[in-house]
Amino acid sequence: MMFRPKGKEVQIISDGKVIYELDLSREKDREIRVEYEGRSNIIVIENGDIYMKEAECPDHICIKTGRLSKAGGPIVCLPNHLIVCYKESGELDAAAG
Amino acid sequence: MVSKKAAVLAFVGMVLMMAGCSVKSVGKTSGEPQSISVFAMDTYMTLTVYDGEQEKALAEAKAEIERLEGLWSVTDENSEIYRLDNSAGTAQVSDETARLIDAALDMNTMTNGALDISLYPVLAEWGFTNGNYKIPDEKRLSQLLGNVDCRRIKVTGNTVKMPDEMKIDLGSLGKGETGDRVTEIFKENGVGSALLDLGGNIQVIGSKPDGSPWKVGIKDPWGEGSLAKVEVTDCCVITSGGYERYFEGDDGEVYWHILDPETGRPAHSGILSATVIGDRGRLCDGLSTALFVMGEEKAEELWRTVGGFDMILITEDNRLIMTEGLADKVSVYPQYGDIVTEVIEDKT
Repeated sequence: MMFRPKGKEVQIISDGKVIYELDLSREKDREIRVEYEGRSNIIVIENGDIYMKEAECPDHICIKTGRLSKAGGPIVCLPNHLIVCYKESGELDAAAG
Repeated sequence: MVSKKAAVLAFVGMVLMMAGCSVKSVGKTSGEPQSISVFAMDTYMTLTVYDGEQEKALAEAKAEIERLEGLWSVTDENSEIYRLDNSAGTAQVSDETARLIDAALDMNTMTNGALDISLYPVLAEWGFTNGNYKIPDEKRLSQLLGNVDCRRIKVTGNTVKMPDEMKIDLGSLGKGETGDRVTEIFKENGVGSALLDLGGNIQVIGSKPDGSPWKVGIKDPWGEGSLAKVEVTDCCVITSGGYERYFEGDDGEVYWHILDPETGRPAHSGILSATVIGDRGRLCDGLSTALFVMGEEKAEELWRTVGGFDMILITEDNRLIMTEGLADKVSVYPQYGDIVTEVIEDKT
């Protein structure tokens, strides 16, 4: 694609609540720890990318997803009710896919 | 877990009592949305209702989603599908499971085999069910493919019979059916305006509280965000795309989760995402997967011959193809000026 939408705004959603809204193009490298029912996940922001580094969950699918990417769906840790995803454009009520 | 369920039940009880004694405050169009998130069926769902008996509708919907997951999960040892898959090939199932399997078999016929619920062991071999991705070796693949053919499943009343070595998974239409059930529950509770997002399966009731249609994004299969929007009322918008789940093999190739039942390999039909828009989530869900596998020509033929749905196909060569019913409802965002839009018409 020649024309990619600009901006890399992502949300971190824990148990249905948006706990962070981040613009990855402006964020400094750092780690974010999120807890759910006593289990924690560590999300890393690094060079404008975001990924799950550690997760106290049985399957680690969230870690295997790797960096939140242009083509990927959201990073989801189902056992810990945690989602890292791109923020949808303002006028939309929802997005299919 | 147990304590959480008890808490939910207690909450439902409270809501019911509140609904009983103060109908006015719970009832009609306050316009204030109420929503819940449900983690179920390997995804997360957000349900938002704008009117009617909001709390009761949401609590009943959550309970129903969890009940259906309990019937259809492939991994829960107590589910009906698990029991069927791990039986000698015969099992008794509930009415709703029998109906859903029946519907899946109908869709297999309708799509000439492009949707096949018995593909599950092949999907598992690729690692798409647990994230342990690998490229299966040819021998193993053809061995597993030998057991794939859902036409060998027989549903008689509540009895399902299938070959011993066959395993099925209703993942390709279960979420759509669940959306249909939630829609029914909402309507029973006087909800006339609601948005259901079942892990990217969008189903809407009525229009937005201000009377305007819902704006639903069609995701950009190459990048992030949405490439187009479709404005809809009272319908389902369900997309299947290779971008939803995939891995890169050691050979540098991308392998995605939508497999062609013919080959047991990722379907490469020229389509990058297939969106089906129609009245029933079950049909839209199953068809979106099938159209992705079938490719443009066969999808168009199915639309002409069977119909009952609209579709948006995004192709590898930068085209967005939509059926004529959508022509005045879809708009492509300006930054995607290099996408060629085509409308197919029913010439008959």
